[in-house]
Order: sequence, then structure tokens, then C-alpha cells
Amino acid sequence: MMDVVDLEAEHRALVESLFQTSYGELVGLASLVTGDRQMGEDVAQDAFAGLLRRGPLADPDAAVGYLRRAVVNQARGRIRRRAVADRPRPSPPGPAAAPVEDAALADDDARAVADALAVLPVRQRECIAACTLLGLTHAEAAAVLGISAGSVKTHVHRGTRRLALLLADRSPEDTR
Amino acid sequence: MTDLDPRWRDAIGRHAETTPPTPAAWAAITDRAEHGAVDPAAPRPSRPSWLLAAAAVLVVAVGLAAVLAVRGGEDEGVRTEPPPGSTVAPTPGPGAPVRVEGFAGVLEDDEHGPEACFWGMAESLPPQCSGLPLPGWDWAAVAGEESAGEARWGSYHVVGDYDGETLTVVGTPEHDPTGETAPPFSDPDRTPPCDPPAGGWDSVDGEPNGAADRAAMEAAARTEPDVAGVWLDARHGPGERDVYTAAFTGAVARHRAELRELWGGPLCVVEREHTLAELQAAQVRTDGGPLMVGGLELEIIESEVDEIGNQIVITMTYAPEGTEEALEEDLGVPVRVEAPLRPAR
Repeated sequence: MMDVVDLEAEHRALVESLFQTSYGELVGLASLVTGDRQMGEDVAQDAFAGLLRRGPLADPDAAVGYLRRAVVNQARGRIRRRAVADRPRPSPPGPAAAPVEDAALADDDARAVADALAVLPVRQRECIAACTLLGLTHAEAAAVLGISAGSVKTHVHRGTRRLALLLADRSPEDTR
Repeated sequence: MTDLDPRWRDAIGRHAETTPPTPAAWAAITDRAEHGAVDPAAPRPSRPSWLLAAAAVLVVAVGLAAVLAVRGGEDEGVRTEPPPGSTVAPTPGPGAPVRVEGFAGVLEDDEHGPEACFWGMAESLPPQCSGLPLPGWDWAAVAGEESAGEARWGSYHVVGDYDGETLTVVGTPEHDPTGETAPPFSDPDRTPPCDPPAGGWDSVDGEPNGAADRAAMEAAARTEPDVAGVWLDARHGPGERDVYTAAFTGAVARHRAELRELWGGPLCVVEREHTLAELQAAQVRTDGGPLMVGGLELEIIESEVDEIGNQIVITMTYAPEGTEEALEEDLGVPVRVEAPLRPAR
């Protein structure tokens, strides 16, 4: 019985440690995917709560991967439910100038890039956030997102090119 | 990795720093953990993602067969054999496994037995992934595996009987010496489908030619009701210029002239059969949620519009013969199905 208590205490300490080191990046990941900072915090907190409730993992090193997958899954679920609530959809990709114009209202680059990301398809957002914000390789991002590494590469490529165009007018240089 | 300006890469990274781990946030987490106020979309350890995917494939496969059954005027209901005249192969189910083959990363660790991971492994040591259980897998019978601690893994070409939930290996899996799971996905060919001008694409240097002009041209193309797609090629060599391709379902000469007034850079304008709106409407029906066909609910893992191919790309774990044709008939647009497991030859 003592061992069980110790394991649970260790697990709680592990989750709290991960909360200190990874909460910010998981909120960022969820916020960029959902396009909503409040929802991002909610999703990240649900992921940590789920890990706490799950109990000790056989491999504590897998906890970060568990949290990332949980965040992506929950963010996707929120978007899906929001999309259902917002039907009819979708609107075709809008004129490229629109998000740039909106972003111009923002006072910092982080807001501008979030606004631009919000007009990309969800999968492109997920791949760019996983690879850029979390610094994952294509294979690592693929394991988190549940798609192939080749698909991650394609989504990152397409999304980044589109993002660059959307942000072109705000760039210090005329980037290609 | 990409050609995104470092300014924007840094801006994305700063999103990891804007919400610190406060005591209030931790209190909210522990409260949720204790009172169960967790979002229903959270992964449930008792039912991992591979099972959801496998269940989705079962629904798709069963649905396809049943759709054809209904269309053929037969009794409704789940069937594992196609109706007479159907081009859809027998579908997997607990009582009717089908012989399939495909490439997979295989991993066994202290969390689970041998599982086939089709969508990549996390490159940790040992690697991590979860996928389709492989009952009967015998590491002693295969070559090329690696190990660390309690984990063993490798890449293999697997032939087996798939029942929608497990893949029972048949014969000896062949080691994939490349060490990479053969991807079912392929990058589309972004080569402009027009003959380049006499001096090559890089010789096209008309005015206007700024980034804003380029964005305005793309925006104008995308607002045309008959637009079928707009994309850039993928050249990244020094001095090479992006070539835009804009596709429409008609009036190519008019569109070319109008876009030329907005942008003087390399431009290819072509004709395609389906508008982007048609493709998007079809894709929405398959986008992650259930697809109602003939009164039945079909589930797709992932789908997207392929503007270059003027088609929808749909991802499933296993695709029986005839899946693409059945989906094309229902959706009314070209469909490419990408699935790591295919019927064994």
C-alpha cells in the first residue's frame, strides 16, 4: 500500500514538474491550433488533469508525448464541435489581403502570426505549431499528430508558404 | 525546414511564453482531475487512438459494402461480402478478416505488445508510438530489430489478416533496411503544367511584381467563382523565382489577361474540371467527422483538398479495392485514397 502511495505521489510530482516546464508551450500549442487563447488554456489544463487522473505511467519519459497528443486531440475536438455549431461552413479561402489587414491592427508579431495561422487549414496549423513552437522533427510531430511524417512535411511546406504570403506586407524585407 | 522569416518563427515561439504556470492554473488542473471536469475529446487510455482509427476503418468498410447493398436493392444491414457486381472487395470484420500488406514501424515496449505504427515513431530512445496490435508477432523470426531497455522495434513489410482491430501476421515479415516506414503519402508534383517561356520562367520579370501585387493577384484568382486552385512551384535555388499556377474551369485566356494586369511575375494559367468550391464542399463532407452516404455513417481519418491534383485526398488505415471509385461516385469529384494497408497481392 505504501508503494502505491509512493507511486501516486511520484506521479503527481512528475505532472507538477511538467506543469512548470511545459504548461506554457502546451497552452501556446493549443492556442495556435484553436485560434483562441482562452480555449488554449482550457485545453492544456484538461490535458494535465487527464494525466493526473490516469495515474503513474510505465514510462515516465512518455508523459510529455502523452500531454502533447492529448492537447492536439482535445484542440481538434473543440474545433470540430465549434465548426458544427457554426455551420454552414466552410467559407472558401478568403482573399490573402484580409488576414494581413486584420493583423495590422495587432500591436505585436505574436498576435499577427496567430491571426495569420488562424486562416490556415487546421492540419497545417497543427504541423507548423508542432514543428516550430515545440521544435519537433517531422517524425516526432507525426507521432504526436497521428499522421505520417511525409504528411507533416507536406502540411508544413504548404502552410509556411501561405503564412509567408499572408505576412509579407509586415515583413522587414520583401521575402519570397 | 522552411523559408519562413525568422521574425515570424520567433513570434510563433513566443506563444510558448505568454502563459506562465501560475498557482491558479495548477489549482484548476487538480480540481479538474479530482472532479472529472475533463473535455470529452480527451484521449481515453482504455481506448487508444489506434482503436478509434481501426473502428473508423471498420465503419468505412462496412459502410461501403452496405451502401452498395442498399443501392443494389438488397436488404439493408451490415455485410462483409460485396453485393453481386460490386467492385468493392470483401471488407474486414471480426468474422471476416482480409489478407492485407503494408510497411510499418513495429514497436513493443513496457506499455504495450508489438504494434504496427503507420504514422511514424517519436525519435526518442527508445522510440515511442502506438498503433495496430500484432498478435503472434515473433521477434525471433524477424531480422533487423533494435532494442533499448524493454523496448524492441524495427521497420518491416508485413503481410497479415486484418479484422479492423488487429493485424495477425502471416509468414515472416521482411525487414525494411531503409529504417523508414514507407510513406503512403507523396508530395504532389508542383511543376507548373505550362510550357516555360523561351527564356525560362526566371526571365519573366514584368511589372507590377511586389509581394503585395502577388498577394492581390492570388486573392483575385481565389475570388473567381470558377477558380479550381492556385499554387506555387517548389523551386528554391538561388535566383529562382516562384511560378504561380492558377487553375480555372474555363475562360483561361480571360483569366490570364486579368491576372497579368495585377502581377507581372511568372504565371501559368490552366483549365481543370472541378471548381475549388466543389472540392471544398466534398471535402467538408469527409473532414474528420461522419460521412453520410446512402443513409449510412462513414468515418474518415483525415481528408484534404488537393488543389494541384484537382481532387480530394482521403486517409484511412486500410482501403479495400474499389474504395476510391465508391467515394468518387458519392462525392462527385476525383478522390485519391491514401492507406498504408492494401489488399495483399
